[in-house]
Amino acid sequence: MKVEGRPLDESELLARATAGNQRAYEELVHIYSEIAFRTAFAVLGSAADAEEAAQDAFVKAFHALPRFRRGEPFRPWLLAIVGNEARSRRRAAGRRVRLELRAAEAARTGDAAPSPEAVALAASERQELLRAVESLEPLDRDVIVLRFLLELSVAETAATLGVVEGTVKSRLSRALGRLRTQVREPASA
Amino acid sequence: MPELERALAELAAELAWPATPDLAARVLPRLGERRGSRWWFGALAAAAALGAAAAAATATNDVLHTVSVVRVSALPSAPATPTEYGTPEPNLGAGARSSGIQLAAPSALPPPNKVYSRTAPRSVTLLYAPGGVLPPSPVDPSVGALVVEGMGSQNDPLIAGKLVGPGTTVSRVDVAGATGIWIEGAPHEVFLDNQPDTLRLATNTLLWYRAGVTYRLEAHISEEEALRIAESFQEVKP
Repeated sequence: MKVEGRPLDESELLARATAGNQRAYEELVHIYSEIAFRTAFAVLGSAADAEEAAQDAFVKAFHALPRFRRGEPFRPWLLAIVGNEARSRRRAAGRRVRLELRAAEAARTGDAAPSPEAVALAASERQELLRAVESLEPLDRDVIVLRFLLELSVAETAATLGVVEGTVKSRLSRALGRLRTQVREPASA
Repeated sequence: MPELERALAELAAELAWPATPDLAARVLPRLGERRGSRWWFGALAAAAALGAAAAAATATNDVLHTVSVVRVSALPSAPATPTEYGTPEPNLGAGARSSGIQLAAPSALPPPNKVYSRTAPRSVTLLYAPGGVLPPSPVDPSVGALVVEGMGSQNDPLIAGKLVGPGTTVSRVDVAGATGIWIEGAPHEVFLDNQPDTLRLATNTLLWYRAGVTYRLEAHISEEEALRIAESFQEVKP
């Protein structure tokens, strides 16, 4: 969205959206669609469910904008709503979900070309690690996926899970310990 | 960085996430839907915003700033159980630490069977199974009592809304020196955190406010018994 030839910054978009400007909110939805969708996917493990959860979260966030404290970061506030929506759906479904993430097949570019054996070994190790993450209990898996695989900050992870930052840190420590028992530490290989 | 965390970071760089759908195209047409389908939410929000001018509709808004009660001629349909209570906690102390609120629990009851916490806004829910002085709730027989302790904020004081129909009475009570509200009779409806989707049925409920915390005790008991339990609340050490 551009007005008078320049893009609006986030605080301006928020101010206009809070006043009911749907076009300003549309721009915010564009900006945060990917992280909202991926966060919902990380909790639900289904693209279709994640899309519905993210949609509902954006609608609820729009109506809740008058309660958003101006000057505070919007992303963790939004992710708290996304996380709440996704966790509610997971509970409503009453099922244990598994992530459907798959490691990309293409090797990273830019490095010196590794040998085919090295590429195959690295891919195998990544798949092993991913399977180990998927097999964790939901509380452990959520915090590992959000913090490390989705690369949310501790504050954003806490907002998404509806807990305080200290809980995220303690859960991370515990989850990493459990994950460590399931995979062969690279250092010990 | 420890090796495992480094391996996770490398994994993150190579994950193939599903393609992000065009959410804006689906969200924009829905932004006006609440006004159409949630008629009672609009009425409640308006009543809360009007404050004293809406005293007839929000008879208790001057008593508890964290709760609005709206009397309606007919209740909208609502489920008996909430979509969620929060994050499960192993005990009261953990709930106090996770929520960050000064938690209290009734000494007149045994320890709760379940403890849940939330942080947006901060609240703790204590769930008690039926037994002793707590009969099964008529709206959810698996529940004897629900205690919710929550903190609103200066910018967001309303943390719960109540819809009451003709068969429900609402009265002002004194809870150990604190002003409270007693809601009794036919099941009413409650929603939390300004979220209309949390609307559910509720049985008799006592609400009171003390030192920044709003307390809510829901159980199918008498006003006298509810006050006895409320006055037994004692601080929980995190």
